[in-house]
Amino acid sequence: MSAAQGSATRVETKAEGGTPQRVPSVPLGRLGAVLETIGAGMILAMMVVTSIDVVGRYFFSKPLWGGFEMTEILMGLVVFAGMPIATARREHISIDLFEAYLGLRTRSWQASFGDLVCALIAGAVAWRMWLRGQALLDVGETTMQLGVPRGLVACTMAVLMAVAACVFVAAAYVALRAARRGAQA
Amino acid sequence: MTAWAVALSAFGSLTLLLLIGVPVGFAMVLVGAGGIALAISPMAALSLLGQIPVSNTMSYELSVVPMFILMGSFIARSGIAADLYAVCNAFVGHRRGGLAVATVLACGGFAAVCGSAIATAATFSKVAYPSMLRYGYHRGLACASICAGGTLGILIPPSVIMVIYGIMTGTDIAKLFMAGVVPGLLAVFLYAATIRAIVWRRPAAGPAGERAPWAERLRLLGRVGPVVALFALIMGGLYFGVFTATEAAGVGAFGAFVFSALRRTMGWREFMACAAETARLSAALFLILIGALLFSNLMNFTGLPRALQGFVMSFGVEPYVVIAAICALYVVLGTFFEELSMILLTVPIFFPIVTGLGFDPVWFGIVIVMVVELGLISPPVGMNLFVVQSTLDLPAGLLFRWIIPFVAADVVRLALIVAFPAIVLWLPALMR
Repeated sequence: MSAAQGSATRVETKAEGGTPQRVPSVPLGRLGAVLETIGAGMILAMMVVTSIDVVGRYFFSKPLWGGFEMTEILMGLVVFAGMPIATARREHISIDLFEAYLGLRTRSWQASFGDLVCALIAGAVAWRMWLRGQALLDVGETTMQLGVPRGLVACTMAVLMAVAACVFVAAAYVALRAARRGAQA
Repeated sequence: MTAWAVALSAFGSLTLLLLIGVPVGFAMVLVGAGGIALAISPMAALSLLGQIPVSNTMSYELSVVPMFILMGSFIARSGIAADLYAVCNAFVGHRRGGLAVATVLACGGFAAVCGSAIATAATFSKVAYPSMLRYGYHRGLACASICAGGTLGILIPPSVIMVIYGIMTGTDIAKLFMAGVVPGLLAVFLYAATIRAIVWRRPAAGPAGERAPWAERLRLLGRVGPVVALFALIMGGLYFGVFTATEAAGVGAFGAFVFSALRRTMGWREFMACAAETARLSAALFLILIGALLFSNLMNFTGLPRALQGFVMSFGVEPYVVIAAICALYVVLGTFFEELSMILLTVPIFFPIVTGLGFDPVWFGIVIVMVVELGLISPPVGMNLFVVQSTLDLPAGLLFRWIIPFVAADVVRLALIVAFPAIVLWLPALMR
């Protein structure tokens, strides 16, 4: 249940001597910082929207106009904005039964392979989400009050998923380099 | 292909993918979509692959998940854990084993505003462990009480696991939360009793601390007032039907935000870090949800739940035997499987059987949460053991012997809940 439960603390496995024994993460630089800020901003916005909505409804019997849809749109965007950064930091949940018994080199090879598999899956999902978004745009489906085209949101989510697929390719490369470096050492 | 053949090959290939290290969510997406393509039609698979990720993330109801994660994240960084621990210590620390009992009590209080077992265990590793060591507690007892106390995070509401169970099965989240309260108190009691039993046999493991004067106790009690207020706000609102679970989560997160801001322990940088962490966790979590939905679509297409129901009915066994079998299966699976994906994969299959036998969905939800708790502290791969060991940089295996009494306490509690469902169902039945 590693990440799933919302740990506030990153768990670092340390080998003797205190050197980190993790497969390296992907340095996303400016892109990572931008996505983190956008993701965090949307999370905080969701919190504020829900609170105003509840207070408005309960005390003034007037819910926030479009609040429901704002939350829906923010939800879709936040999940997929988080995808590339979770990928870069290797925070996707996996089962590492044998991790303790494998060396960094073996785990790096393994991670590299897993990253490539995930890149393909994420790419396929992004492609199908894009088509789904296009279909929604064709029908012209919009949200009830704000009139935001749902297809536009879905396409944005698809693009973010495609970015995540690219990050997986980068992650495979980074892991591969770590594996080869391990071989030389 | 029959339902059994599809199910077996699906679970088999999933296990294989997980063993070679493919992340759980992506592995489920691959097997789910691949299975649908082979067993139904490639077109169906492709269309679900686009539809499920879009329609199941753009959902108002599901904002409950990130909002409760955010609330827990604020709470964990606000430093309230130390205050809670200080209060509990002031009241029980002067007894033998008192600091360990205080740890469990404080974990319970912390769990009332945080929905995660991992966050609770990690937080108290830093807060409670140093002072237990200072008073000469055995490292094993100190760690074991933190691991066990940490599991309260998902039993005492709010709880992310309950939210997920509620979403998957359409069970009322507010009722699930209410249902967790009494079992949560029972858990605190049983853990405290376990600690007392341990120090009764080995007094040196948990010497008594200093006695705090009443003035000091009352002063400390005032500092944790806001936690009580936050818990009362969420649970009161849910109990009286003022707001839905989704709204409670948003309001709770906002309350935690205000509370942390007033304590002045956090600045903008910390708030943004919490929110960014929530965004990343939500991505990881929803990916698993998407994978699990694809997977359960495959199972439903092939008719596994019905086939399994027929299979179980054909034996004509007592309903409680079925529950016992399911619990046993979860305990075995939980010793090596990641708990959240285990629930997401199996609950859609077991839920119709269990409710078909006449069991209450809310009660079954609490049983599931308890089985997960058990998995979190079961050696050798219980996640809480791992978290505490790695946070404190302790040798692996130190804990295994000391955690056993707490595991036993969990088994006793599970048996009590199965034997007396009223422990769970009494409080939710009082609602409105």
